[in-house]
Amino acid sequence: MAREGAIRAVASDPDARRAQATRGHLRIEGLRVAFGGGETQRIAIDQIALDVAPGEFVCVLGPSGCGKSTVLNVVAGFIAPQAGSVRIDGKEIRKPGADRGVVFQQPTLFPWKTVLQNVAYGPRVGGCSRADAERTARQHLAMVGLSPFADSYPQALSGGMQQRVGIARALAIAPNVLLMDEPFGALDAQTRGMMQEVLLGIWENLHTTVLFVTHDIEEALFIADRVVVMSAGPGRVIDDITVPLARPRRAEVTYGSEFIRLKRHCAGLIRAESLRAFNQQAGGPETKRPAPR
Amino acid sequence: MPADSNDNTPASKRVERIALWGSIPLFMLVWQAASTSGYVNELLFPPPTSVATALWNELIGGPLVLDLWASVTRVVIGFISGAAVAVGVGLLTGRYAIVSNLLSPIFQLLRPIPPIAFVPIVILWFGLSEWGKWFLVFWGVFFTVWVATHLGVQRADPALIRAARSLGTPDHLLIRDVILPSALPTIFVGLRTAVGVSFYTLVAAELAGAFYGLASRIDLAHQNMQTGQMLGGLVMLGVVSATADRGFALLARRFVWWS
Repeated sequence: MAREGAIRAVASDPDARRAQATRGHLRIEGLRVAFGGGETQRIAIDQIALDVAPGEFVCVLGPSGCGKSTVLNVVAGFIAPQAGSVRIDGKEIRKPGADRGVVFQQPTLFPWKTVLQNVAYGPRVGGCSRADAERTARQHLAMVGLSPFADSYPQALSGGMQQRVGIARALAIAPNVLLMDEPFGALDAQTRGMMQEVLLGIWENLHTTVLFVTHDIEEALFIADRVVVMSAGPGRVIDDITVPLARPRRAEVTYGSEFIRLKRHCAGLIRAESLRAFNQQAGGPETKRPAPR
Repeated sequence: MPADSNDNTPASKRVERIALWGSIPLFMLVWQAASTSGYVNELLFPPPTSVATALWNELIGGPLVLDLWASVTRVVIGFISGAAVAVGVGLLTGRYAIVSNLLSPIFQLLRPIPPIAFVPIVILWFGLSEWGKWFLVFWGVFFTVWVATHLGVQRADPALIRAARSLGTPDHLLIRDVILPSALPTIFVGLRTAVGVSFYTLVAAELAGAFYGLASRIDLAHQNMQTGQMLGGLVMLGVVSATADRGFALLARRFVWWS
């Protein structure tokens, strides 16, 4: 099986990993998603366009309720769009698949499987033999620093450790694109900072294309090559910022003047958007949205 | 001892243990005293010593083992077949709206009818054969386990299903790999309830007529006014169904270790 071969090759050969950066070109065009129908229809996102180069790390940043997770769910194949298209390496996305790895806000590990079985599940269901799947799983557990916990059950692990297993599980299927939906949002500040550094360390080795959704400005600027800022109601892209900070990045970078300038810029955008959304809500549910210009 | 004064000193632990082990002997003593006090008719309310004698006589020279065997096999056959069919059907109704729409209204109509009410018609259908007993136990177990499986499947965590789909799980493996294990804790609650249900449908089935069985022995002893044997039969039913329930709880802990 072709995918089985790919997983084995990528897991064992660092050159194959670097070569992977030629795959994972994500292209989103004219995306529109609406929930409900008729009078109560609410447009969640509209006219979203985004081009992510192979191996690029892109953050989608926006106030809560702006539809940034909806964008990610369309790319993951969980939601079908009303209009527009999502393509990965030219192939249109219609349903969930192992070419994309997803890390959710909650770890969503299978509680009846051990940590190792959780990570080995993806390769196994993709056609690997049990031994190969376990070898791949052990390599990915080592990558997130959890080898000693291979035989534990997820419930015995802390939230941050569970989320590291979630990352290992998503990467074990050697996805072309890694989708992360506020993966550190439920963690405390210290764990979150540590997780960001762990993630960057892994990404600097693998160079998988990453689409990372967050509402945390510092997180976005610290980890991403590019930050895409979204507006609320309906969600649209209002800015696309290239982060010119050198890699590998360490926590000190967040004290630099360039970082602070970008942070101020993003905070201004988000604050204006949050205010606009707040006033819209304060106007009452009957208030009609102004006609699009 | 009130729960809030539950201190963990060795002495109080010992008292708690004595209370646990003394529970059933105390019950026996009170029963013995009540029966032999002279205030009640000992023939109608025999003391535990008479009940024990009756059981002993049934064991060494009588049909106790045959009765036990007949009753337990009926429960086991009815329970396993009912539970297996119910889990299969429950997975389908819980997962596929079209199957649920087709079957759930029928099941919801049949489910509240007490299985005991089927005894007369079952006798017409199956006579006094084993099939009638198996059918009644099957009937009682089926609906209990079906409801639990159906609910368990519907409550399966959608986040876990999404996670599995994102890992490439094809639709035909979702039930085996995610939905069934997600529903298993709820299914086991249903199965354990069904253990109790299977014993009371068994009693109804045997009272309607059987050659062997713990409940049919009670009926026979009643006709002969053998009150010791009657109470002995009740004690045996209690022991057997309590053992089954405890065994099932241990089994559940082994099969759904994560909940």
